[in-house]
Amino acid sequence: MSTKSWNRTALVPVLGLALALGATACLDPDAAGNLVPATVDEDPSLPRIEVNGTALHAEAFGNPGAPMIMVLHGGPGGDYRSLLPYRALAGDGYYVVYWDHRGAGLSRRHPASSYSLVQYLEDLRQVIERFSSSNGQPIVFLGHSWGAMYATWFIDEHGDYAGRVAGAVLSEPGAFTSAGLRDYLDRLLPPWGLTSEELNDVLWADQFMSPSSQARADLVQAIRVLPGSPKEHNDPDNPPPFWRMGAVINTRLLEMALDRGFDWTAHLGSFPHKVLFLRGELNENMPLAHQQELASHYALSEVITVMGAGHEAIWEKQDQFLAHIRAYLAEIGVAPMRDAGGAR
Amino acid sequence: MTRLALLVSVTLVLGAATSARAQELNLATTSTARPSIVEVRTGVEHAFLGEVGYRHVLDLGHQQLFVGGDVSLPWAKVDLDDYRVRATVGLPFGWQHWKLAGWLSPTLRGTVNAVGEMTAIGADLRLTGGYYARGWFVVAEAGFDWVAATKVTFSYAYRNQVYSAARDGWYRTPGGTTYAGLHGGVSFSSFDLVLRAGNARTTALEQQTMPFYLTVGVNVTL
Repeated sequence: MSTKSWNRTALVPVLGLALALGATACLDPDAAGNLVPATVDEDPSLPRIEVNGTALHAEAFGNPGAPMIMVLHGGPGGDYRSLLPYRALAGDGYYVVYWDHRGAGLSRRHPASSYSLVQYLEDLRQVIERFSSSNGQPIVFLGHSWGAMYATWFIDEHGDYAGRVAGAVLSEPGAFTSAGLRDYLDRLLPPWGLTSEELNDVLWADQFMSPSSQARADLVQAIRVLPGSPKEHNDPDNPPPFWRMGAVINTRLLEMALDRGFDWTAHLGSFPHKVLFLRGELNENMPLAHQQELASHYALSEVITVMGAGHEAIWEKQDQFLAHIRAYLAEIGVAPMRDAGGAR
Repeated sequence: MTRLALLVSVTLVLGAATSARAQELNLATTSTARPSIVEVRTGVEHAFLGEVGYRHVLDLGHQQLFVGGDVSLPWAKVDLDDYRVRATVGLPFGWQHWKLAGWLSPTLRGTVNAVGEMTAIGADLRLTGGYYARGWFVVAEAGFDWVAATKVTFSYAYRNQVYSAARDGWYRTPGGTTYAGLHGGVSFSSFDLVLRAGNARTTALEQQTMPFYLTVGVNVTL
């Protein structure tokens, strides 16, 4: 064997060993907790409930017998992390319920083909039942953005839910009909100009991480979400935190809603309680007239503008939001229960 | 000198931007007698990008071998943090006007975005096959732009706002792009004008953010 041929023969196992070592030394992008936080299926220490065939990241604060504040996060596909300051309402004497919607936040992930609108709406009803201590326990929704739309969807479908839904605080809902959603998305997307660094970054990132698993898809979604939308005028120095985006449910839910069409306004006129709309002054995508038009579908409503903030006013102006919510709860007669309670 | 001036002019005309993987050569006109080819591309491929490349034609007896490299930058906003650098070797074979070719391009990429800093290594394997005449050519192409590993260093924003325990490091086989399309062009004097278009998906065949590519370019034989 000549020196040259020996060298070639030796090169193969050396290269193979180097590749094997490289492969094992590298991290697995789909392993729990590497790129994005673990879900309830991957981290048993997370608070969770099981309803309607799924596992949801969920927790509640306050006296379980007190009037329920059902908090609904944005997205679709977001999570409730930035809404946690509103657990202050538990200290007032309310039972404040948080959960990450199906396929979102730290809740269980499912294949895109498994999601349906009927199932998604039923989740909310079952979460209400899961946390209810009696059939007469009053419920008030506190929904932000997509969560405000979700609350409206529920009200349009279930009315006041046998007298239990006593009101709703809706922070910047986008639309109540598929036509309205298309208009809203036209205003929202793309959030950046064609020559912007943000658009550059989002498009270029496809070459580094493909959304071929839920974890990678959620990371790619974070690349899209983190820069924010200039037209929403959120405070760049005080961005709302989140745990993990649900990229698949975000895409799938919007696809289903737009493909099938929806109109969640048909029965809002018969909802017997006042609904409070809270909006940020600066959000160009949801000007006052837009929120007033949405509010007009309810028989009783009020739109309040919070000055000096955009779409994330609910995060940036928590004190003002809390003051408006407390005044609203007093106005609609949902009185707090004053005895102490803990998290459940 | 005239040729160089012309090249500079063409570069400036195309200029603010340049793209594409520069394997779009007219194999009927390439020659070891004039082995140096400079390529300039612009268009949409993942992002709005520009590319400058060089190919050298080597003689393998009855066959040509192409070696070279190219540098690409997205140009929506010029940002040197985002780049792609590739070396390429290409081997065509065929008969008369019909030719097939295989192209292998080890690739290094970089980007900085809101989540963090990413560096990726991989290789693009492309097969092309088509008709090449002296004055024009039309070619089908399909490729697999595989990412072997991506190094992620998470940003302060991601750790602070999203996930403090995210793990920095090299992540194995995080994805890539499969693509298929057509390219073709006209050739005159020392130039090829090339148009390239096709569909791009992930390696698992999911849709990408930019589901197509469309580029124009010029090859200049020096």
